[in-house]
Amino acid sequence: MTDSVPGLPVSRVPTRERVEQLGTPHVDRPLRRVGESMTLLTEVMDHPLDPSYVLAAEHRGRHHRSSWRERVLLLSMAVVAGIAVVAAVASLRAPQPAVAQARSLLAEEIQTKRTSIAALNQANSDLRDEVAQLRSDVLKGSDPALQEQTDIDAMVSAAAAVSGPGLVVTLHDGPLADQDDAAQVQDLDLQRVVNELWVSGAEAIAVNGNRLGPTSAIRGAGGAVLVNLVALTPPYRVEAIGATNTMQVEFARSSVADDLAALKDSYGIAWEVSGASALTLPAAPTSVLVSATLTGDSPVASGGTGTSTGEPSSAVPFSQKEGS
Amino acid sequence: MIPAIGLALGVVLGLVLQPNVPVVLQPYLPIAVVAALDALFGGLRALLDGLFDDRVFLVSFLSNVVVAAVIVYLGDQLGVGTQLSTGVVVVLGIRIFSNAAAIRRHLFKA
Repeated sequence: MTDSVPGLPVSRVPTRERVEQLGTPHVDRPLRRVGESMTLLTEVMDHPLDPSYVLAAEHRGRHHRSSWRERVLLLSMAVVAGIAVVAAVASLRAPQPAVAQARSLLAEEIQTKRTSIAALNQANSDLRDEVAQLRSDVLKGSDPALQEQTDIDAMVSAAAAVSGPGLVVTLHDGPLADQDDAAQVQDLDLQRVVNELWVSGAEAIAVNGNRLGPTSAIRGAGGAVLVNLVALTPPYRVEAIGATNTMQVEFARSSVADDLAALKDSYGIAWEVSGASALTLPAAPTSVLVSATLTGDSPVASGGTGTSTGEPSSAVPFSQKEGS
Repeated sequence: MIPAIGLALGVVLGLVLQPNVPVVLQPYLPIAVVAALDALFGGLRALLDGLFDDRVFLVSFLSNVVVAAVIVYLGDQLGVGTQLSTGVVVVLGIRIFSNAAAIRRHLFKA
């Protein structure tokens, strides 16, 4: 397109004729050009160079030196241009403030909520301890048998913290978990591990410190695994209290172990099983039953305590519900 | 020489002072940068043509930027901001291309 510009100068000194050729538009051109109806476009295409360069070159030919005032003006303009360029580049490269602000606001809100949830949970468990303490104080003198039964019930229904030997199964996300959702440990994987542990004779299970109670659920939501409605982050540590050796053998022989091995081959999901001599699991959040009521022939209603030896696995409705 | 020193000084000052562009001016930054590029290519071509003049370069640089921003501002006020910015970018783009072609001819004789 610029080929229509006449031949470019060989010498560096501008002459009057060349200046005219190069810069100023030829208004009084005798021949009608093809693109005359598009003067604006041809003007833009044929004379991309600022005409003032030509004029300045012509001007400079007459008197050379510039005064001090002009130089100072020039310098200050150059400084302004430099600052303007840097400011423009810096602010164009910076992340959009509105987005960042909204993001930090949300993050702050999440943090605040998390702290308040933690505080409320702590207060809740403190109150629960207090209730248990008061109850045992009352029952110790009047009805030791009832107190024993209450303690067992609390232990079985995961309402009390428990400790004992057991098994720890740890699951790590695969190395490609960032790109591939399938390489993440899914809620289904955790469910199968937990169910297998129940079947193998676990008496109390916690996932990343969240004790599984009678109404606990393990589920996925938006790529995160929720246990007791708390979102967990990998690695997932499933702690199960029970007979260590039996559980270890049962777990290793189960189909879940085969599945985990397959997951490791396919997605690099690492997992290990280790025995632990002493595990301490916290109490599960107390579930409030609104709709459920005791039936008339329930053993609790009839007051039958039996010869309970504190063997909670004899009363595991949970494991039967979860077992698959 | 003076403008080169001034520009370097300005860049250093800008880096040190970290000036903030007012939020009001933010929408006009991209178009201003395109206008600055146009002035830059024009200056380079003039240099190769032997016509370069530092004063003209600086004036064209600053006025290009301001005029481009004003046109877009006007467009925003009239409700045709995006169309006008497209127009400005097209015109400046054509000029940048033509000047770049001339520079190329100078440098590579092709």
